[in-house]
Amino acid sequence: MMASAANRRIRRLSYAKYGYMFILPFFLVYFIFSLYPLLYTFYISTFRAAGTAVDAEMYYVGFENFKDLLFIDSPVRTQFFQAIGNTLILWICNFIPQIALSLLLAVWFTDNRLHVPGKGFFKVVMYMPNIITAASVATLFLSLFGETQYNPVNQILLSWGWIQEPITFLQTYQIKRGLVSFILAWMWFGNTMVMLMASIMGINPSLFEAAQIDGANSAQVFAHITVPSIRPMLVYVFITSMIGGLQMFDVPYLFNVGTDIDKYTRTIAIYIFERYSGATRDYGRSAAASIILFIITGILGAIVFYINSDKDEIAEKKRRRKEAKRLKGGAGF
Amino acid sequence: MNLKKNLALVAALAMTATVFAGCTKTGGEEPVDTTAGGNDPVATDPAAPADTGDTFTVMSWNDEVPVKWGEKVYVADKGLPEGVTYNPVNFGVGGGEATPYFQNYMESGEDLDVFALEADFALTFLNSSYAGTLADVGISADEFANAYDYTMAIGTVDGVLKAVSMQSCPGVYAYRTDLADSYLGVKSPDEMQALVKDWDTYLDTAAKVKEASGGKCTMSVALGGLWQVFSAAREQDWVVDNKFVVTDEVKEFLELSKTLADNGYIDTNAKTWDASWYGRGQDGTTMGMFTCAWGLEGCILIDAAGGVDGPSYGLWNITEGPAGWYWGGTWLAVSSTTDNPNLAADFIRYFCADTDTMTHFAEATGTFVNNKEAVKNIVANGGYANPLLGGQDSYAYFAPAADNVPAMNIGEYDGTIKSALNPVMVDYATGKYASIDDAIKAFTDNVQAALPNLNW
Repeated sequence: MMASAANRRIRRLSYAKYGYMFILPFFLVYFIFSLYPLLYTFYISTFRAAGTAVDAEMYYVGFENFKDLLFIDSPVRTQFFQAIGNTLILWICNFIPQIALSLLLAVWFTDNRLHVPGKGFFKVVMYMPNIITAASVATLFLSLFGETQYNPVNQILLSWGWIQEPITFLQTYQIKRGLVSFILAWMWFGNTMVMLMASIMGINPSLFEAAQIDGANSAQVFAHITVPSIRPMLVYVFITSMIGGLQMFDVPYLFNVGTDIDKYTRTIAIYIFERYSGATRDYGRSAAASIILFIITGILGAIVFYINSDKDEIAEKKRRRKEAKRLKGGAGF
Repeated sequence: MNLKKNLALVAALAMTATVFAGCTKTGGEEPVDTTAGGNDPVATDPAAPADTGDTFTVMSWNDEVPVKWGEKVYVADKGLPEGVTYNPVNFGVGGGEATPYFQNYMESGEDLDVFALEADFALTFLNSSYAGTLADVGISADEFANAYDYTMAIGTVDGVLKAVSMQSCPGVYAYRTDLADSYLGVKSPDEMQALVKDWDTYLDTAAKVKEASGGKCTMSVALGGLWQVFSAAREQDWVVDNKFVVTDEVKEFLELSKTLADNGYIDTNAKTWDASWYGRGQDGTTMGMFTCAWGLEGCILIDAAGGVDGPSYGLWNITEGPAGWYWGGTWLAVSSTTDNPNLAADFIRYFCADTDTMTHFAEATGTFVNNKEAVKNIVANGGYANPLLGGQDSYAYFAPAADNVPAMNIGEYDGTIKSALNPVMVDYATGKYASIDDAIKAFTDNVQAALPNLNW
């Protein structure tokens, strides 16, 4: 009896060893490429460069860089807050249409009664924008919406006689933001759709059948069966899109046209990059802005996770914990 | 979707890591016998240390200095001492993006002897410990008596000569001879110069061109080139005692751009370095553009003409325009870690001091060299009838123009401040600011955001 228990323990331990070996590469990569840069970013966020020379000395300033970005009223802070606002606007304007469209298409493509023909074809075509690099897409749209009479959109509008003069699309900040949001939504809706479809197809078909037999219409099935069943996937899509959105860089950066209008599409990532890459070598404030972005991401992620978590389960857990405590406490007396 | 990004990042980092792993120090630990071979540079300063490196490295942001000039002109002409290999380093980027590439290379401690700089970012490196002084390799400032004054002012940091320019880049107003003839009755560059000799005359001429062409033809295209004219005229640094000062030239320039835009003497929709800029040179909607010595056959004007077979090739002439000014240029500096000081000195002398070799260099590449004697020689030898300019001798023109460029020091923030002014100048010209004070405020805010470490 004793011997067999010991054997079991040994066997369990040796299995664990292999488990650790398998996950070791991930942790090595994570420590070198993620954790170390993160800590190092925090370290340099407390420094400033003395001068503009490439090897200018860095001196310690404590939390001054954070103070500059968050509390001291100057163009530095104004630009930073504007960048946060821009990022949120651009992300919300691309996420809402993106999730709405993906959800609709995912439901249509998985509906047994609709029998959409050419499902495979549509899936591939809709996923395709995601394969093209953001740079090419941005360049394509920049050329489509260029400001002269030779750029396609202006050319079409002129030839239809809708406008008399070419429109300077990129000099109007609402259009510029709209285009950036549209590109991002267009690039990512196929990806989101595929993930939601996978999730919907994992729902037990008998649930749908039961609902049909009970006489539920499509809207009721969608609201009471599909959405609750794919909630974990929706949370995942929401969180990953939010993290990606907060780090939005490539498309808005390529939409810089060299006038003051660019400040309406300057995202936090662009702000960090401009600060870092400028001749001023402002690594300190750049790193501080990155840390603030990290904290914002963390907080928003936590909020979303809390809102979307199963309240009943949390209540149940709490109840069980209380019960356990009560029992333990009781035993003590 | 985020996973994909992370994967790409990890892959990119992994690749970068292998790049660094692949780098080995090529700097010579082993001394080489430099007395072999007949082409050895002779050190004029006995205090200069001997050459010990087996690699002679010349670095720049593009291939112009290390390959087109260093390898194809210098090495081809003079050769290198036995046992020394030539190592051209070029990053294939624009001068504006060079800083991080240079920095990484210098920090890696690899072999470096001579590197090229542009005025906009020169001080970032000249103020650092990576740049040596020219005196370190035995070059004295007196050797550059024939250089144009403004090029020497830019290479001098706190009274110490650290970099010298191989070119002189006086700016010009290039105009279309056919349009000038039909709209203004101008037959020669001198007549044209009389019509653009200062900004008031320039505006009068612009009005005449507009009227004569029925509003089709503007006097010049984008604002970017125009700022260079005012920038060169600045007498004071942007930053004095760690405080930012808005000089009068900015206001003058903004007012002038607005006048030009309001009256339709310029096209504010056209962007510098864009097809909308070049294209105007071919369809007859612009009288001319502001460009400079490197902006003729190299870029700008050749593109504006549509290439060698372009519709306006050969129809251009150049004239000085409303003010003496310069635009860019390439300076050479020595690395503080050079292990071939004599060779580095010889390289710099070849391109920047020696009249004979500079004459050869100019004839080989068409560069407007930074040497008054060499320019005189070339002009005396018949000059250079430029086919792009319909046979006009660009050298004969550039020679006096380069003399008129005001000598000005550069500041360490010039590039950053220029970037802060760019958006404001377009927006003010197109009427997005209510007053000049608003525009100056926006400019100052941009500068403060970019340079928070100054005293504000």
